Amino acid sequence: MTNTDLKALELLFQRPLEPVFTTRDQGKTVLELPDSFYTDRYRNDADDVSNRFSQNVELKIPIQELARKPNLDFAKKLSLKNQFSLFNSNHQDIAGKLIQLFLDAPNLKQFVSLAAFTKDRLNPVLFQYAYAVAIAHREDTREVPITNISQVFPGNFVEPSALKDARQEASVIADTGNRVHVDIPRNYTASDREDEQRLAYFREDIGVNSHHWHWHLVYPASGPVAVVNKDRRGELFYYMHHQILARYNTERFCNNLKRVQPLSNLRGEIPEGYFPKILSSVNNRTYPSRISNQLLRDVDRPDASIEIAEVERWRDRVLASIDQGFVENSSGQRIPLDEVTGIDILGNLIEASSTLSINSQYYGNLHNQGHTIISFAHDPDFRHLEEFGVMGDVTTAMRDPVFYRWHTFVDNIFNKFKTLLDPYNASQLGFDGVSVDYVEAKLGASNAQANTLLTYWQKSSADLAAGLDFGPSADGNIFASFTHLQNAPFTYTFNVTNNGPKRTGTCRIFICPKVDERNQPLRLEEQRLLAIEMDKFTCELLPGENTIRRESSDSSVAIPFERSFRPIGAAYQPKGADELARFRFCGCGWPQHLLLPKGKPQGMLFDLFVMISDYSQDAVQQPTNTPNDACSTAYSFCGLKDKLYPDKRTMGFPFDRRLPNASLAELTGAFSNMAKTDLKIVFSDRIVDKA
Amino acid sequence: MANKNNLLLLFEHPNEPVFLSKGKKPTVFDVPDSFLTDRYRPISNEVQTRAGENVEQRIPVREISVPDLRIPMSLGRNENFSLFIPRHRRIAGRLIDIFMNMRSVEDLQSVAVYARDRVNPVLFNYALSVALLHRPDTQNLDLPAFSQMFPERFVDSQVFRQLREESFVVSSGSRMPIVIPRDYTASDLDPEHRLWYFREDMGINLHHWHWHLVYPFEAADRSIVAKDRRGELFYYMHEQIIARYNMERFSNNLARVQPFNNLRDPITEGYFPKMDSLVASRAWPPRFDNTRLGDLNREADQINLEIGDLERWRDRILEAIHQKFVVNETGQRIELDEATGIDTLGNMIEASILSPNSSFYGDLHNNGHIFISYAHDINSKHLESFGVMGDSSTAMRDPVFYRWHAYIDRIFQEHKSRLSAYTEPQLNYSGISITGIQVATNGGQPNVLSTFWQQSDLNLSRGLDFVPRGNVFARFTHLQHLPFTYTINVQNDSGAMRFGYVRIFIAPKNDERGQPMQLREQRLMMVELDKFAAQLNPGPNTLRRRSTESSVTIPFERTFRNLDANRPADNTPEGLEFNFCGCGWPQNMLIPKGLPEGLPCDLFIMVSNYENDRIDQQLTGRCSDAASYCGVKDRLYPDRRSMGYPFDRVPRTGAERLANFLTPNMSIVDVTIRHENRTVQRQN
Repeated sequence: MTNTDLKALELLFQRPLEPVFTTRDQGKTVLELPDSFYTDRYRNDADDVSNRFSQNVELKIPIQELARKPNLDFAKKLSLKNQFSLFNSNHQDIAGKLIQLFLDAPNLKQFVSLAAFTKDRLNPVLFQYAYAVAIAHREDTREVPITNISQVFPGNFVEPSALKDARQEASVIADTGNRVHVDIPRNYTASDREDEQRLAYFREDIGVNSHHWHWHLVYPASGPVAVVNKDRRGELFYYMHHQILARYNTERFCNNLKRVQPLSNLRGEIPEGYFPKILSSVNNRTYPSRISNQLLRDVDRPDASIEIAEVERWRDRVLASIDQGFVENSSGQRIPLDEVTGIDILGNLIEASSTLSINSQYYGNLHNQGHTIISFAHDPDFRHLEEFGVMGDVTTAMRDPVFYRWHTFVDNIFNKFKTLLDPYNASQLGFDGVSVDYVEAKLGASNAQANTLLTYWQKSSADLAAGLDFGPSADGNIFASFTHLQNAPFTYTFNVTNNGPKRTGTCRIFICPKVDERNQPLRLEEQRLLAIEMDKFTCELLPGENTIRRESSDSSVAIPFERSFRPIGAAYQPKGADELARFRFCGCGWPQHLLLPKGKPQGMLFDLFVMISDYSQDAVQQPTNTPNDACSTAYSFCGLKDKLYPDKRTMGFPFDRRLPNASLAELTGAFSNMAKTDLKIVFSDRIVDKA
Repeated sequence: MANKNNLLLLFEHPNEPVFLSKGKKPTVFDVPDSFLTDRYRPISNEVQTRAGENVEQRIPVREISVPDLRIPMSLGRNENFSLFIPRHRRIAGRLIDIFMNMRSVEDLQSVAVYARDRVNPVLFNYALSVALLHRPDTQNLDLPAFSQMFPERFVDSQVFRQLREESFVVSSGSRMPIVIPRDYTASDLDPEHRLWYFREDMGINLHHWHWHLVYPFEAADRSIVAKDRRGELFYYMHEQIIARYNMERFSNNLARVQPFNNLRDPITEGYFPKMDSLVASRAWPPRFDNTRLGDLNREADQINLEIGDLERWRDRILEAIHQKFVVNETGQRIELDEATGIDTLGNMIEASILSPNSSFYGDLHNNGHIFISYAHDINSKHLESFGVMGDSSTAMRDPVFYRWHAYIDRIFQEHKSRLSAYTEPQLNYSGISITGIQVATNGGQPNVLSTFWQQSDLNLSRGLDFVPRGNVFARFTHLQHLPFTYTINVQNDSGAMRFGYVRIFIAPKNDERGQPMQLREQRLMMVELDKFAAQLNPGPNTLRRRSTESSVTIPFERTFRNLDANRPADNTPEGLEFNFCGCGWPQNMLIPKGLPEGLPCDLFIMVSNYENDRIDQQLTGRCSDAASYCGVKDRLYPDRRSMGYPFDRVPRTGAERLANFLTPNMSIVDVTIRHENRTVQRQN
């Protein structure tokens, strides 16, 4: 990057705990601060420390004095060593104000100064969150790539001994090529005695958890209205989490476990214990655990206060409004929950977004406070001065089995609403004159069998240097290798006959498990809730026969994982502008390596379902003058930056509502624009080393 | 010829590879290539050259053929090591053996260098410490304080982030001490938290670690375990801990600790240590409020025991106590008599390898620790290691430690209460009488003792791995008191010069209801403050004794032995005196905190007949100044009486109150302990 201001912004994602004046960019660059920027600890030593860190650097970026020093008192409640939680409304408020402050900076130079000034005066996670939101939403910072959260705070994502090993490797061996990749252990949170451990590869996946954080970056729940009030935000909250559960339940089937039970009774014991073992670098404390059979209790702490009964009341009110078909806003007006906007209203009201909820006084803060109560089960009255468990933090919540139980409870509320809507009718589902005649998914190899897909373990590597604060790794990269599920790339091929004129269709691809946990065929009403969206794209249909091909790597759901784990530093960035744009990491998106569920060693059968809907009913008129966005690849879960959600149908269509048929076979039989085929996913228990 | 002092460098930076620089004067070991681990052997040149930059001293390491380390290496480098776990004890025993059997210091250095990067770091520290303490050619070495090598076992984990920052950002001259916060493990909502300064005191936890270092309960070489009266000392040292703890509880308006006498009850007291084990890269697991114990089935630790097993052992032990004999492995009866009964029981309950019949009486005390320390993950389902109760350097932090030991003590008292009471003639020392006692701080009111808070700085740089070198200090807060002097007037009417053994105890006057205590209760709270021999000339004598001379404590400097501080040269009597003794109650905790309005106490002094009590042995240079709780190295316990005498047995009939118990050679005085809530900085 040529502009040093933009470079400074990129560097502020590195080494989040180190003072802003230390070297970054592998020891090559420092920021030159005005004296007034030094915090009290270093003000007297300012010359000493700045000299110390500016020796041997290649680039010094001068930071402009701030026109006016901001008043940061609003953030005082959250100390530098506290854990920051997006589920906590106080923290949300603070984050909202900080985002506003960053967005208000009049120009790029002042924004850089503001960021450099505030960094060491604010909680590091709060800073990284609001800073990333601001970078993503400011006009003048479009070019700045947002560093993957797992590289900024690797402690929240990997087993802590890997960090110790990384420190050792970096301090003993110079970066001359002899450094080896540090291994991040697998299966460290529980043993096979714990049934839930079979899903650890999913729950503790680095990509899954960083997706969750980046989703919340794109869709903050509070802050300036312009940032929060995104098109169909509430609906996307419902849909993204609904899809996570469909995927999770399918993974459970792959591991011979039944569907996850909703946590509908907050008064019962939680049988699933969880011991995260990961260490937060911010306060150097391990995330608190939850022992088996823990009871939830009312939370009464300085940082959070919530009774279980409150959550129960909110639940009852939300359910009552769903049954009645309307919600009441704060002035007592009834707002109907209709087919189109009802789910969006409910999403913002249940999550709840304090800015967008239609009546947060009455409907409360159901989803967030569930996280709060669960995350404080070990110390509800702050007797033991403990911070929240993993459920309190968006970077870590998805590690815990109870996350899925809580979200199943939340999802059931949404599904109840969806079930009360009329089933889709033929005019909504059909596409006259279009028939899908043949469907297959096939691995790349020419001799591959159609409709047999493959998963396996893969070892990949990530660069941890950016997150090893106060470490000796300033001189280079330090790689850690980790093992994750992977799927072999494949291609969909569809033969479509168009008996009409040239038209545009939207091709919607899903896979669904065929049988339930009792090995009985799933009824469509159950199966639709387990349908996993694989891809969605528009296709031109010429009159007559068309062959549509689509690569699995083009999925509208997923982002390529490797991209987000590129080593830090200019040397690793592609040079061409085009390539750079594509390379740009936007963070949000389901990890490509988990696009397919794991399947089974002997093969597990799925329905591969394809529907081509009428684009004239799907199309969205985008506002003019919005720039093309490089990170549009994963719009199904993440929407499009600065644009409307690019599909007019309700999310999950056609499986979000009841369908007129009893089984998937009947459905595809009734509608020629749909087709299905059996798909087998074979899991091969071997590790392919890519690292 | 290798310098044995270099061995001490091997304790530093326990998680770093052995070839990195160590010591105040930067020093590296020149490690033979064949000694390096697989990771570094192929790049030996590069890493050793890099480590050797700017060093001032190089220590050659002789390449020898290394003994078989498979057993010590069977404990993973990342595992938590616990002396309470039998498998770990066996592993440690093997490593101690290897270190003990090396023929010369040079060979010991070689094997230690070889083993250091291959065996578990805490195991290495423990086994090498025990070996250095017991080898004739190294026993005058001054072991570094455990807290300097593994500070994370003693300090809030949050502090480490700051220490790291300070070392990284600031050059070593201008570094400021990092303040270890008070009150970080719990809030005032938890009544137990009022005792934080006692349970989490660094000196107390170091004492406990060192006590178990000096008195291991298992070793291949039986003589390391079979020290004079070790079973009795196990009983007595822990009895005193409970007495002291209860007195601290009275100093905080809390009732005496409830013995944990029903292993099936939930444990009300939760505890969240908030410390990391840097070796295991894990936090010490917490215990939530109201956790229940469960049967243990943890294959990897080779622990498969039911609560029922512990209950059976307890019942058999109580049966033996009530029948007044134990049955050894060959079926013979061993009487539990007045002299040796308590020693037998101590070894049997703890249990050490000296237990007369470990298959029948089991391993009660150790397994209590194990059961409690695994309550959060009884079957290793969650791959969790033990909590703080599983480690002797951390166990005393947890409120449940005292509940468990209160129960163990109750079992010992079951035996003691069956012995016949001391009679007046036994207690008396004819011709000797105490005519007056006064206790005073320098310039203070007589018979008022004063406590307050003090902040001290500790250099933790030796335990910080992979950070830039140079001192970095942590500042912690601990209880302190004004030093005081006992003035004792003793009348010798025997007409000849006599020797007396002066025994000083303190106990609260009133119970938790504010009622004066019966002696049968008060005796269990009698805290030993000092014991010393005194020459008594005919006629009046005035004995003066300073609190800092106490036979239970060691001075602050010794608890935290700073290797850099000036210390006596080796092989001088003072140098030898300095050695061995990390063991000893920390001087700053000699007296309990007291209350702001004053805690009323009885200070008791007895002069017994030294001719009856003395042990004839040479004590010079044996670091005997904390003998009451720690004994004397390689010597007999320097008091023939039962430990805790004269309060180890129930008082005779008629002595319901302490005042009625007194014979002329005893006296009491009312003493008030007053706490001032102020903090002073320690002057270095």
